Parts: sequence; C-alpha cells; structure tokens
Amino acid sequence: MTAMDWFPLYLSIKVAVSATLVTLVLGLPLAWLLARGDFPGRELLDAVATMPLVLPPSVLGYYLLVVLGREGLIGRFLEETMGISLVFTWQGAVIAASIVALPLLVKTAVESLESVDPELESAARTLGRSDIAVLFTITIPLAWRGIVAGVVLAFARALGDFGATLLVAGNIPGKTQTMAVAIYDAIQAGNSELANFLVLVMTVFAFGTLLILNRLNRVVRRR
Amino acid sequence: MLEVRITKSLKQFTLQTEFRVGKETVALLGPSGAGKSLTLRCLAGLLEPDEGTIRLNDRVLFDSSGRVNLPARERKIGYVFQNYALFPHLTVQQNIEYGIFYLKSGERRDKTMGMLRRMRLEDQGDRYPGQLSGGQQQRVAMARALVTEPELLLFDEPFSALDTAVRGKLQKELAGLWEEFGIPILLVTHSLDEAYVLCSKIAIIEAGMVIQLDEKEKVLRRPANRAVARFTGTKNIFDGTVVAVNDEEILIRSNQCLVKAPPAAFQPGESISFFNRPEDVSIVRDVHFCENQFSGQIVEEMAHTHSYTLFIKLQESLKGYRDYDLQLEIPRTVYSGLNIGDRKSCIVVFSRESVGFIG
Repeated sequence: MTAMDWFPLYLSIKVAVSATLVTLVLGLPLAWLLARGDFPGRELLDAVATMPLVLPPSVLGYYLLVVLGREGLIGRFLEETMGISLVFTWQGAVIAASIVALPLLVKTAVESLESVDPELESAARTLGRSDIAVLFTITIPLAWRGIVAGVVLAFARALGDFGATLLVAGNIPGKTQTMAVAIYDAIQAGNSELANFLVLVMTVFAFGTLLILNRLNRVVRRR
Repeated sequence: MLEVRITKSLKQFTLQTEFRVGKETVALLGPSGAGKSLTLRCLAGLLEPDEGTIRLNDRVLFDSSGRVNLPARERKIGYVFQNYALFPHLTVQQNIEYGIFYLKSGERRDKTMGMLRRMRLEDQGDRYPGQLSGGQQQRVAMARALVTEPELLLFDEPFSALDTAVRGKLQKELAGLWEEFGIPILLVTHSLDEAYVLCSKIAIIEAGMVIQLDEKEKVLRRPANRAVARFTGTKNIFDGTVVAVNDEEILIRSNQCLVKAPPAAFQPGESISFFNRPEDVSIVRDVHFCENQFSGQIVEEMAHTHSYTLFIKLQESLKGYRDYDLQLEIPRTVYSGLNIGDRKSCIVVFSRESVGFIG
C-alpha cells in the first residue's frame, strides 16, 4: 500500500467541526424562536427547519447547487460582488453539511428548551434580569443536556454526510474529497484495499469521537 | 401605596380590577379562574393589560394612555410563585443572590447571609432547591424576592404546594414575618381561612372583578352582596322587613318568624337581607327562654370528620331560598350527646350578634 493520504480525514473533521459551529449559531436562536415564540408562521418555520431530515440529501444538494451555483440567486450575487464561488469548495461542503445537520440540533434543542418551566424565566425577570440575561443564566443552563445531545447528533450527521456534500462540493481529491466521498470513490475504482482501510479509519474515528463526547456530556451533567 | 385600575379581555371573561392598597396585607380571594393570578401577573409586568393604569408609590408602572409599560425587571415587585419557581440548577445561596447581581461581591454576600439568617436557612445555603422541604423552599422563594428590596410583594397561592399538616404552622410563621416587611403584600388564595389568618384586608374577586375590598372583619360581617356572603361561608340567607329599631337591637320579620339582630342604621319598614353562618347556629334539647329560638325538623344530615351538617325545616318558616330553612354545623360530640339522630325534631337557637346584613 502506498503512503496513506490523510487529507480526506482531515477535511472531514474540518467540515464537520465547521458545520457544527454553523449549526449551533443558526440552530440555537431558531430553536429558541420555535420553543418560546408566538408568531404567525411558527408551524411553517418548524416544517421548513425539519425538511432536511425528511428529504434525501441528494435533493438538498440539488437545491443548494441551484441556489449557490453560478446561475443561482445567491451564487451569482457572491460571484459578482465578492468574486466568491462556493460550489466545488470545502466551504460549499460546510454549507451542505450544516443544512443536513441543522434539524437534528434544532429538534433536540427545541424539546429541551420547551421542557424549561416558563415560570422560572418569569421569576428571573421579576428579579431584575433582562431577557438576554435570563436566556443565558436560566434557560440555556437548564436546557444544556438537550443542547449538547443535539450538538453531538449534528456533528455525527455532518461527519457522515455524503449526498449533499458530493453534489455541492464535488469529488476533487485534495480539495473537496471528504472521507465519505473518498470511500465511495475507492469502491467505484475497485480499490477494495483502500476502501477497507478508509472504512476502518472512519469507524474508529467516529466511535472514538462519540465515546469522548459522551464522557464529556456526563462530566457536564454531574456538575 | 399601590393603585390599580386595569382591564384585560380574556376568552372566558374580562378582567376588570380596580383597587388601592396601602402598607398592609391584602388577600385576593375568589374561586379558581376568577382572575386572581392574572391580576398578579399584570402587576408584575408578566402580562400586559389592555388598558388602565398601575401606580406603585410615586412610580407609574403601566399607563395605557401614556403608553408606559415598564418591563418586569424594572418594576421592583417581588413575586413568590405558586410552585416557588426556584432555579433548580443553582444553590439556595445562588438563588438568593440572583436578583442582586449588580452589587459588589462582598456586599452581595453580606445581604445574602443576612437574609439566610432571617429566614432560618443558615445551614441550607449550599444545598439545591430539590433537597429542601416545601416550607424551606417557600422561605427561599421569599428570601430571593425580599433581598432585592421590592416595593410590593406578591404571593400566588403560597400554600397550595404544601400538605395540610404543615400549612397551619407555616401560615403562623408567615404572618409573623410579614409584619416586619413594611411593604404592601398581596396574597392570592381561594381559602377564606388562609386569607383571614394571613391578611388584614380581604378583596373578594369574582369573574375578573373586585366585588368588595374591606377590613376582613367587615367582609365577614357586612358582605356587599349575596355572592360575597356565600363565598365567605354564609349558608343561611333570608329576606325580611325591619319591624322595630332601638339602641340594643333591631327586630326583623321574615315570613312568620321574628328575628332579633344587632343594632344597625335601618328604618322600620325597610326591606333587608340578613344571614347567619352554620357554625353560629346551635341546637338545644329543651325550650329555654332566649332570643331567636325556633323549633323545627331535621330534613337531612351530613357527617364530616369532626362535625355534622344538619338541614332544618322550621315550623314557622323564614323567607329563604331553599326547601329547608337553616343549615347548621355542630361538633360530633354535641350531635351524639343530644341523641337528635333518633328524634329528628329539634329546637335551634342563634344569638342576635350572629346575625349579619348584606349590602
């Protein structure tokens, strides 16, 4: 076997970590809105946020391609104003993985935010705290377990994404080829030795990550 | 001084409250769903009234015409919630410090320690709310509200989460503590007894309206209308005409009966409603010579843990509203001592002082 190319693993981790952060930044406010908000269109927003869970990743990837591509609304705008193209880049893969992972975080976070007694938030407000302080001192700490679980799920989903990533970022070795795509590539090429090795690496890594996250979660819980 | 005049339309009824409270303890008393808790939420800024004004001392908290609506955090109103709403992830000490976050840490610690001592929670500072008894949780909730030096304290059904065994003891404790606070206190309850034990004034609320707000004795002695009378435990209500008035008593005719009542500012010939309470009526074996004595038949009886409720039909009836004339409550010992269970006929008496007037 030739020298192992570790790039796909490195890229997978980079994409998954970035996508998890994006998911957290977008997903938490969205979850809060869905859990506490009382506005028209809440059901609609909930449905839209859940769609990526239901649609095949290839469909999502296709939508993203249409929107982010050179002819797409956002794609053209980015290209013309900033000269940025997201299609066939690792950033494109991050966007794809984020969209795929988002509902997992939002769903779990909404559930845990809803389980926080609104009376506790009311009590905090009568004690002189602003809404934002209440969110960070009461709501989020009490919903923390669910949020962490959602983050773990989102990370796992982002790490394993294949379809959406392939459609948006393509399969460029050394540039956009993540583990999942590299494994597919190796199997297609009949290189079962490489495929076996990559599958093993992926399995060990995913398993190890989950073990560590679970342990961390338990430490957080105990405090 | 708290001045409230608010309306808020809700699905079932319209909340339409108007009252003033000084440095005293006032119970908002009414059946569940009458809008008591909603009133508290409006005061605390957790719910926005449709219109009206809320003033606390020299501050306007809410004014629909001036578009003032201070957020809950700026109202300086302490709120003790029904289930206490203690923060489960914070220790007792952290719970109490929560509202005085803006103080320097030394000062914050001193105040918290002082409050822990005052509420007899010195040894509980490091424990979590889940590890405390109901009574301790109640005191933590009170300490947490009081440490912010509120100008008004609101209690929403503070005893509903506690079992009856500890309730009486805690009510006594609470009444003692409240005297030290020196701020207006509003207590929401549906128990007349609780309102009477803990407060100096009682506001009767029904279907979103304050029907009567008076000294507690007055609410009991002179209810504003039948609804208040019923709600304060009056079962025997009659109509009658004043026959004679003098310095010691007034004489009322109700159907064939003549009833003596305490002196009041009525004129002979005036139509009035009067009442007495089941526990103020007693039964005697033989005819004595006393005021308000009538003979009758027991038509129905109900046994309770410590007492019997008897429903009496009098020979000469009173002008009431039911198919019996009087409802009365006597202790079990009296009931068995009189052997009335067998006889069914009896003589009832009630003192003239026990007669009250409605309106």
